[in-house]
Amino acid sequence: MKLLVDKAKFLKSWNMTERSAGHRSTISVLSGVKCEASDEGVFLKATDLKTSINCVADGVEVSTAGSAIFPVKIIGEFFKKAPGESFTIGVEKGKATVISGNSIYTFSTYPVSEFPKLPSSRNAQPFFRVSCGDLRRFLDEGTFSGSPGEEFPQYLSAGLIQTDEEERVRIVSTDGRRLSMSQGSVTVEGEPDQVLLPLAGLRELQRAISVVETNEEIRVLKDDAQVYFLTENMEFSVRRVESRFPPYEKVLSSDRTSWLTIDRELFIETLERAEVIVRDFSRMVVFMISPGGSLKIQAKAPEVGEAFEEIPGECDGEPLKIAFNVRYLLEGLRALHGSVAHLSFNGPNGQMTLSRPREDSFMYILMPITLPEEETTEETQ
Amino acid sequence: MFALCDCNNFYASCERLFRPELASRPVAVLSNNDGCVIARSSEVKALGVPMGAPYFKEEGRFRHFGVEVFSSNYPLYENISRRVTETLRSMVPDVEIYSIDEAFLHVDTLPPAMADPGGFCREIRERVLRWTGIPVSIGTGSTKTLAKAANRIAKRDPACDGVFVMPDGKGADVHLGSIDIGDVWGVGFRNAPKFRRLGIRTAKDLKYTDEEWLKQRFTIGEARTSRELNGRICFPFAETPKPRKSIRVSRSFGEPVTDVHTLREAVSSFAFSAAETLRGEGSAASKLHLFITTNPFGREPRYANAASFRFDVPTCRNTEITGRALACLERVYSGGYAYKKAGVILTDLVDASNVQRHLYSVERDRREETLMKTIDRLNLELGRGAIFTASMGIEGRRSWGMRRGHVSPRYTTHWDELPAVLPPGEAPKQ
Repeated sequence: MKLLVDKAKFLKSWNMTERSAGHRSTISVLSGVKCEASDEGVFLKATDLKTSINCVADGVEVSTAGSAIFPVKIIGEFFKKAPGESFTIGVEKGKATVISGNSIYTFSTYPVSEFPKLPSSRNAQPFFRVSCGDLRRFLDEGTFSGSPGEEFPQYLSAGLIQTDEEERVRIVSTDGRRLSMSQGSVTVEGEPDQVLLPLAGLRELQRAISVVETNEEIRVLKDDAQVYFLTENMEFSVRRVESRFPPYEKVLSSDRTSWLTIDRELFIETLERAEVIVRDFSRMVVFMISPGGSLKIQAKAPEVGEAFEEIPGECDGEPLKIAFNVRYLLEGLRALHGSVAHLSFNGPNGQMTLSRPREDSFMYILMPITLPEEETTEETQ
Repeated sequence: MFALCDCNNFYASCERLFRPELASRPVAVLSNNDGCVIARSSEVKALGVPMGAPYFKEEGRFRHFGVEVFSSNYPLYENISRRVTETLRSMVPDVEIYSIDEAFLHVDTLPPAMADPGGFCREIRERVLRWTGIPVSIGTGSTKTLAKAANRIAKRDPACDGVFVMPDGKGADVHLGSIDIGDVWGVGFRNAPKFRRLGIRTAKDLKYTDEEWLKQRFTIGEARTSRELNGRICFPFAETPKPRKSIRVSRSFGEPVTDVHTLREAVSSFAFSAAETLRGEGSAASKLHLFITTNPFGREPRYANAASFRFDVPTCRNTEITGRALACLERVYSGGYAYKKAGVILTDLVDASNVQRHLYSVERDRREETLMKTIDRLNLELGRGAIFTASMGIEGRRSWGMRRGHVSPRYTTHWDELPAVLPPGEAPKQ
């Protein structure tokens, strides 16, 4: 195999592919990127066995067809540091030679025969089509509530993707204490269905599509084992999780006793200040909501200090004193795309729902922290 | 100024308290299962019995020298410790309990203490002895580390009569020069050889060691100890103890346990006790760990396993904790082994009054909270074990209990074992 490479263009495809390599795998060949060169073009492939990517390499001219597996850690780094704007790669008998200007480097490659066969969307069923910008939003807003580190139950480390008859897709994740859901219009293909995908895989997908044009359409396909995300130059697949997602519809209640509309940026800044006090203690902030008044926020930690903030907002409904984990709250607010946040509460022990005003395209449901009974009955004025 | 009040040979002193005839006789207290010597009166120390010596090795010597041996009696020690603390609080409002037999006293705000620290400490010492019967030693210093060093001198130098005031500045050097580096608070026996290799042999050497040099070769902890020896406070007074990070209840069984039924009783008891401690501290646990193990030193087949469970909502209720502990036991139990030890560990503790709620958990029955409070109150008023879960088995029929062949009565915590004062010649009622 011999290739003439335009460094800048090639690195875009390389960077996208190398992230999906199995850097932590005990199978060494997975820490490499397979490069296949033929008359049809050059393809870069990588997998960690949970996700796989097959991407068209830009800026490469094929002199001699062939294939090779380049170890990401060494050759990948050299590609980035190679002098000049172009270089040639030649592979012979398992040795890769990279020539760039006066620099000549030789590297060992992995045996091509050891690279696993990647899943292919050739026989997969269409699921839905969505613009890249929308998919990015769904993933940003819908997947942050899961807990990727948790092994059991599996739904904690997975995100649900569900289509319905109204041509909508929903992405949902939960760790039991909170739930985030993002939804929007897409072109549903085939029967409405749902799949469960690992959060780690969805995070990789977020990174992979971060360089794709916002208006570009992404086709989503599925088979029994994988879900495929196809762009013009890339095929990204994620292995499905065989588990049941909890009945999340049950918690999407519209019951509310108090509600609040507030400037998102201001709210985030205030909570970030209060977090300084409680981040090494309980991470608990207490809200005091008075109808027609402002939002009062209190945070305290023994031996550290106390915070009290009052911020303007439109408060309505019943007076309420309620406590939340400030980190969970901030994660929800940071994920919300928009300048105004709407929060509705269902009593001191019920859930809080964060959304955009008069919209249901994003919902973040968070359970409160219990306060001693005598505290919740105190005057909130 | 800090004062450190340390009870002399505390466990041995507690055993002597209700047995005055033992006042000048050698007394030793053994660890759980009568395994090792964990407290020695000065007479036993003089015999050369080291701390932690296995009892079976010392048994012959003890018999020969007439050493009075006791199994550990924690209900008694905890009660006496509380009395000592209360007595200390009657003279010094700010008391930081450091361990069952040690407490730091914050005496800065007390004019009599500042005017004559030695005299004030002697007064404390006399009152503790008179009110509780426990002899204590008190050392004072401008930092906790210096107070600890002063206490060591007070205890060992008979001329001090149990009280030593560490002078400030260079005046302390002569005393610190006599304290081995391994005996400095915060150094410990693990780090001591490294210090000695580097030429730091005494507390005084550490005092004059460059802080940056210490940070490079050790940790910030050792640098802080050096600062404290220089009279600069790094460990401030903390009256409110820091909440625990975990609660562990584990026991070695007196006899090996071979059946799952007995193991269930033991695990239920450990879970009950852990939950009780948890509620006592106003905490709730998010995670439970259970372990079982055979004797690692025996010749029988060996087996050890552990299991964990994460509660959706942190809990402090017996029912949930015992239920989950037993479920974990079912997961790890394997028949055909002689189990020597088991334990329940509760971790990820949070404040029970501020618990993160869960989206999918069933609302807890509020009546159970009242039930827990009632159980705790009855066990406090009627004595430990008045109320227990059926899965713990019946007291007296539990075959998994610890070996406690020399245990003294619960003089202060059990109605049936209270010492009786009788007219001369009258025999106690049976």
